[in-house]
Amino acid sequence: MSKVLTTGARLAGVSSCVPAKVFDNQQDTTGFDPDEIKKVVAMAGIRQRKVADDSICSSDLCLKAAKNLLEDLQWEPSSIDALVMVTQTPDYFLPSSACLIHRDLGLSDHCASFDVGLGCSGYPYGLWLGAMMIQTGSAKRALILHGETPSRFTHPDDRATYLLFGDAGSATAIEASSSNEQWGFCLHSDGSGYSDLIIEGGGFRNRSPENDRDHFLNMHGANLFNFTVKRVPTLINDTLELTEKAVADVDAFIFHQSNKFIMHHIAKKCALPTAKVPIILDRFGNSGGPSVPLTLTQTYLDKQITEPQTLMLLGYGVGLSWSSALLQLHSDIRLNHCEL
Amino acid sequence: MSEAKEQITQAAALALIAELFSEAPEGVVPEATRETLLGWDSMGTLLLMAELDERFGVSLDDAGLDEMESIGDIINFMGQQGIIVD
Repeated sequence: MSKVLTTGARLAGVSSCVPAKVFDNQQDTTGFDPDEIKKVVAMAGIRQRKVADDSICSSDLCLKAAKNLLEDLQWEPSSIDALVMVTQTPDYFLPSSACLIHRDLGLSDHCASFDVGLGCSGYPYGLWLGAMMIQTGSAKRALILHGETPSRFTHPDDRATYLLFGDAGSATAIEASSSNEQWGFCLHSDGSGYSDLIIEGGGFRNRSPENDRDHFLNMHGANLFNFTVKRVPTLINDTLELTEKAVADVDAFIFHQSNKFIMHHIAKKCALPTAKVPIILDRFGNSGGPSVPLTLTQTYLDKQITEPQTLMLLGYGVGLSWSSALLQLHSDIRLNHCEL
Repeated sequence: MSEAKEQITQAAALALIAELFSEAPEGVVPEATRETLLGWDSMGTLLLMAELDERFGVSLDDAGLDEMESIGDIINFMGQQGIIVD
């Protein structure tokens, strides 16, 4: 079943963390033609990116976000029943990055901790897992972490990818609630598109590739464009139908920050008001799935939430995989953002 | 031949491509190539794909793009998709 409504959970807090280092695409890029850089910047909308050096992993970004969030919420580590780390840039093949963070947060050995290998679609999927754990009584409190360092897997000679990606981590706290509030999720996959966004080498299919470029991202842009414009408008409409809402009922459509041109194209197709589609990739880059919670914190951190805000969260990309979540932000939510 | 949402003449198709690539219309002829048209770059390609999707309901994949070396190849593709009618 790809469409589901859940109850019994509340969103207690969302925290994001990005590297402090800024890469200006036009000033700091060497090796590419300046006019070509200008065109890519104009098309994708990415002027600057927050990038991690080799000492920073997704787990580091998520750990800092999680520590800030737990302190803000005054949650004891021992009270957390589940920790899910959604990432495709883990520290190691094994053990899971969730176990490393479990250690660093001092969580109980009763806490179920595991990684989920999803990227661009990862945030709604992660929230769905948390919501399901809460609804079934498997957990009263869950931490959903989502972090990526995609700037570290783009090759500096690849014009198609090098200028696009930034890095980010996030932590989201979900807990059981007596409220009847429903969350809606739509979750989809199409493995036939697995090669459209792929790192071919280093995994067990090809541990030691002869071509060093196989350790870096290979992206088929046109196929991804077609996938996005075909699947995401339907995703938006299906999510509205599932939750019995109209565009006017949704306060913000928070997209995975993939590409400004494509986001605008889809917004136009779905008649989404521009003001309801926040865009942050101009200064953060495309940080994959964590760009969704990052956009959430950047959009609402400095706003006073006096009335519940209905948000549709949209993830789409690697897999191919695409997903949505529709839920509400309430005035008691804790939001924060930091740099590492 | 596929049925596109809308159909145009070849002359209109060339004018459309000129507009999307920000090129003077007289330069956008079937013999023109990526090398001779500065506007046939990643941005121009994305604009072309968006227009094909939104206006004509037609998709162009990476394999198809790789095979296009001239404006004539784009026109042939549009013809095969039922976009161009004489």
